[in-house]
Amino acid sequence: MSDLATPQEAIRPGTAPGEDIALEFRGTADFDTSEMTLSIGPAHPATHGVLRIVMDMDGERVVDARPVIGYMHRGFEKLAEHRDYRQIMALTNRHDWLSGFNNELGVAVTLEKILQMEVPDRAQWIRMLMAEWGRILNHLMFVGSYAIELGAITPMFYAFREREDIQHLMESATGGRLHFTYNQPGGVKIDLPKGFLRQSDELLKLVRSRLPDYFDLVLGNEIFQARTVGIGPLDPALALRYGVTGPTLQACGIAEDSRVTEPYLKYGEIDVEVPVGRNGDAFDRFYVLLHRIRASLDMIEQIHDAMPSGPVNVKLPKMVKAPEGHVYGRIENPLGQLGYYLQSSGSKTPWRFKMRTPSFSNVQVLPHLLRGTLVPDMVAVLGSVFFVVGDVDR
Amino acid sequence: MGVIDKVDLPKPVRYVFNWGRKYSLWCFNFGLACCAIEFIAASTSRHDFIRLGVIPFAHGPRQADLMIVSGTLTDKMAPAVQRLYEEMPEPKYVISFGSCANTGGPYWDSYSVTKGVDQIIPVDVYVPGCPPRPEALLDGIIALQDRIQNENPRERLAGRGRDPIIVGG
Amino acid sequence: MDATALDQYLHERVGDAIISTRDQFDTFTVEVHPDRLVEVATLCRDDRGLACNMFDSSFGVDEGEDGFAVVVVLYSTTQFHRILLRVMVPGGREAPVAPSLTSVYEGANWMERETWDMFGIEFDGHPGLAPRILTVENFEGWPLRKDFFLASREAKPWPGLKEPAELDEDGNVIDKVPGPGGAPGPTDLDEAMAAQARAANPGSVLAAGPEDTVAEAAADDDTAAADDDTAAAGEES
Repeated sequence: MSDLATPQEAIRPGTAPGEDIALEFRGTADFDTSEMTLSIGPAHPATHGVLRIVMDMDGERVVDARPVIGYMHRGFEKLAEHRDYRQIMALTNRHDWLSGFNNELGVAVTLEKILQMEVPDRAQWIRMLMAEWGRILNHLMFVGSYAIELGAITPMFYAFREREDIQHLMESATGGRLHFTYNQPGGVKIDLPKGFLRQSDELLKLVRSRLPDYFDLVLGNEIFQARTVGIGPLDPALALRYGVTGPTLQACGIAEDSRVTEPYLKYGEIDVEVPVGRNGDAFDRFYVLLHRIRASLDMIEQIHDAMPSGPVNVKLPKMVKAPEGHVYGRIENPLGQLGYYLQSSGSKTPWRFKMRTPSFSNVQVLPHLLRGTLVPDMVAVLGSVFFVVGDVDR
Repeated sequence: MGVIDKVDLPKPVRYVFNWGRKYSLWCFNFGLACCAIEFIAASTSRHDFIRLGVIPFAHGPRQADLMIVSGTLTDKMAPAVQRLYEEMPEPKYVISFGSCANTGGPYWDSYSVTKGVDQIIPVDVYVPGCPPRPEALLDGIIALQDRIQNENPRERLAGRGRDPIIVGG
Repeated sequence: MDATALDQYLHERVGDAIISTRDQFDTFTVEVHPDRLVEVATLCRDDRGLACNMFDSSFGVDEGEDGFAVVVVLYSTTQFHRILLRVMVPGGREAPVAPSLTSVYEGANWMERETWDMFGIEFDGHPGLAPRILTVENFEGWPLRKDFFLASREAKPWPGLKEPAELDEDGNVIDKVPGPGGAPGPTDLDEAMAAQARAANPGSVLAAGPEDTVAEAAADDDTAAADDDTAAAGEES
């Protein structure tokens, strides 16, 4: 990994090292600017999907920003009340579409809480393995898309090269490239194919060997740092009151990660590293993202070593019925904390199924980050608050 | 459009004309939901539809020939999609990618989903799947290119010959 | 703190605001009086022992005739405990008005807007509930209420069959108004398709005879009618 000292000294415009700043920024008071309202989106390449942001601008500076969401609202919570649990698991895949496995894992974990089901060990370890590969898939996508928004086009192709290999691996076990439907209450559907662990090990070594390129060429890139250091700082206490979680929160310095604070599956038995940032700015968020990829690879290595043998699921009744009562289950999605509130009246469909998604809270904090930035910085901030629109709107 | 919508081009000219059009489809990057990820995967190095001539870097609908609608179309988003389609100049083609764009898909019973993008714009190729593999998109593009090669531009602009192709069907 | 300690701690401080507590399935829920909700939430946030600095979510639940409930989920990143606060919203089903938590946690803003959009519950003290956050601006109705029926499931059960009993003597279709939760669920369509398949194939193995009950048809996985609402729904093992 390269030396990641902040290069603040190298960036000041119009100066040579040792000289004072030649330009003086006095604000827009002397210039004739006009206010206007600009609507970015919903069909805009930089907004990661169909998110619309209505900005009041004074010249190039953003005075206020209001995200308008709902363009991908598909009514999942209502549909969940008319579907049984296996159908719900198949449908939740499609919300945070970059990490489908983790979404359905959350449903399985919540269901197992209310059904008080014992999940076989091997199933738990397999789930962890798939969850970590899914986490890397998600983070690689953001590595590619954030870089392309800042103008660097090639990291996208490299990130997708890695993604294709990982998707190929997961497809060999689950049959799906994007939406896996591999979980069921009590375990996973079928066992891993023969040779899967060996393939996974080879892929682990391959991705590990390619990771330094991202650190050196993207994170260590002077232009990237100039565009992200100090941009969009987020105050940790404010972030918590908004419910921000995941890399966005960890970049503020708070090491809140469900895998460590409320371990589910077998995360309590392995070393889980939670990288944190210092300033909560865009650079730190990306830094945390890359380090999470590295940490996930380390976890996958531990999972390979610990994988037991045994059954991978329990015999389910014909129709899975949750007992009466309510439960709140929570897992660590790649983007943050994913929570499911399930209230059951004893039948095969839930009475109320609420999906608490990380992106909804992450997007809610955007106005705070966008106020006072310039338009080019707006793109940098928007890309750094990692969210998926399907997760925001459900 | 000048001459093309009044006169049937002679065969050699039409051959070259269609050949040029089919191998230079500038695509408006219209990803809505999960299928957009498979669309992006189809454009990157492993599957690469750029080698077929489909270039995903159109700067806006006004410079695009092809619109690939990938993902669920909601009622809130529908007016935007319709407006973007109308901004595209003729001759234009639409590929409906994924089952949500085809018919509403897994969200067929939702109160806020438009059951298929063909409710608001005419579709040329339907690619089924949830999400379809990138190879299915390549198949759809090739099927569309075959159609473009064999079509009569004058009839196309007059609105005839628009029976949709269903990939795999 | 674990659930029993939390229970005692809260009772010592705001015991008169609490209606009941419940610890079930690893979820600690406190039911409070609606007019004391803001006070209890502020206590959870500011008290050293509770230290609920993270606002997780807030959402509504349709409780049928009893009206609506609002559930607020709070979490502490220092004490690692989670508290669910639950209130029954005053005003019943006609005019539900709940207290807003935006003065305590900023994150409640969009959550309450969503609850209003989905259920029609007004929040007293919220800076601005309109415009509708998730549905189209001119959407009519409150989607997550139990008396909001999914039109697609009513209009066209797979694949559009109509039974003779649903026509009156003139041959017109009788409009049935199902009760809450009466829209066809996943296995109702299974049954409908199984019945249709049987009717279309008399004398085959599908015709299970007149004693074939609804429960049997629903429970029997081997019928030819495959439910395929979601394209990727897997088979039960």
